[in-house]
Amino acid sequence: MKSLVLIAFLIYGLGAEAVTEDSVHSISKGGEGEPHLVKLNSGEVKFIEQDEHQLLAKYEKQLKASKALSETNFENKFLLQEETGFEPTLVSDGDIQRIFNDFNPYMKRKSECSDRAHVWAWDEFNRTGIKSEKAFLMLTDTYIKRHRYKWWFHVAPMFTTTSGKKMVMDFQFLNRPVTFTEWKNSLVFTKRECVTDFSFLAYDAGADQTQDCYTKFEPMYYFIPGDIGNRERGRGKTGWNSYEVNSSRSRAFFKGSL
Amino acid sequence: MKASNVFVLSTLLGLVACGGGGGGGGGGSGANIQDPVVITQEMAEATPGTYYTVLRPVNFHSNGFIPYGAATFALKGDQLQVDISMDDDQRVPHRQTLHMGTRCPTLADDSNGDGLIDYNEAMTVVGSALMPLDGDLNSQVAGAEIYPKGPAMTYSKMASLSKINADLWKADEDPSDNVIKLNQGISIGFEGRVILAHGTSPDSSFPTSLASFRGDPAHLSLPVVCGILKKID
Repeated sequence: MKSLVLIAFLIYGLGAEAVTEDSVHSISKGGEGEPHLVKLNSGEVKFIEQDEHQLLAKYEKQLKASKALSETNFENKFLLQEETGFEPTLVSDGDIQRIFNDFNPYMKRKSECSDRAHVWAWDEFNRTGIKSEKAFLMLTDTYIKRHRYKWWFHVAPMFTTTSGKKMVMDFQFLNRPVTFTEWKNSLVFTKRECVTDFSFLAYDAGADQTQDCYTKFEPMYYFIPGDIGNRERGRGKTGWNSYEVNSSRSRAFFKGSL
Repeated sequence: MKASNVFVLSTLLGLVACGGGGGGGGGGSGANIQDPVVITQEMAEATPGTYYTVLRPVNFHSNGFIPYGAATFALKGDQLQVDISMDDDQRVPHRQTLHMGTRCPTLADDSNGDGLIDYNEAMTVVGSALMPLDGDLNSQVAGAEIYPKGPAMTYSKMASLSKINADLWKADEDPSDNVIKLNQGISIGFEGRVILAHGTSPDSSFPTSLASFRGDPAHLSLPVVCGILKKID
């Protein structure tokens, strides 16, 4: 089974395209005296002041182009492993540290979290067949503006233990596997609980701005939050996208490192 | 045989010639001695090879950007090549130093409970400094206070291991700082040593409880990333 996946991975990777990480995910217009937030698919947030009309127009143009590309590419989406009802592999508590230690540590200086998470999750799956999840953390516009946060989402691989614990492995930021709550608390200054029962499309449309954060656990194949939105539109992801994995690796890790 | 290469940290610290810590008003060398730590020959003396560490954030919430990076020490013969990179988003100088300690500070080391690991709290954990990673690695004095600047800083310096050791065996010109000297014959080691870098946004607002290095502005002294060198080849 695993070898079939690998072969498909190689075949379908050829010629594939995807939404790039530096493309614009969305623009949240600021109220009077507030900056506009340009959210990139990399997770980065650009703060555009009210008088920066040209810059805003540039990003609006990019957003339009990015949406058109996304629609075109959807027809070319390649699902390598048909799966309904994704279930993460249960791993023993003793294996958790081993998995963490096996993560590729040779990240490039300006690597993105989605690239790193995707490669780590794929590499572990490729090595051992263990299916992991991704923990996505998304911040509200009010939180971003209040703390002048430079990113609107973060993602890391998450493994489920036989004892039922969800352990997040954010190798770039933390030197050990941590529980989801510990991970969330290290990233969200207020340590408030995040909203878990929500639609990503609703979050994207504005969310409840009295909240600080939203979080979703998704199958390992999910690369960026836009993939969650695609599932809600009926276009779920049930397999690896080799273009995404390969391009993530070249963007985030040094050549030859594993 | 292996056992003969093992020391106890407290023993090694006993061989250190300097007046120890206190720099910046915090974390004297005595405070650095916690439980005795077993160190190997690799830790006591650098051997040829490559030492690497991921640099992870110390203070996640010093501003709206979480810094991170990596450091490589490559020793070939007498030649040492040090490369450090950091994604930091801030146009500030990053004081960075190789320390005697064996672990990085965590929030558990926030002794005054203000939510940040400040300079003194970090020094208590990482211990005295062996090598400022500044403008001249061959000397603790030459090149002092010349540090790389962000955002997205990279640092690359070459040095001579014999010159570094010779400098470490000189008399300590400023026993009041936290940069130490070693006794003659005790060579620098990289394995298990801590790298700590400082400096964040001047726009950050900090509690008044935040200690800084010799009266520097708090944002320049704040520890931002840390890592522990490990020999990889």
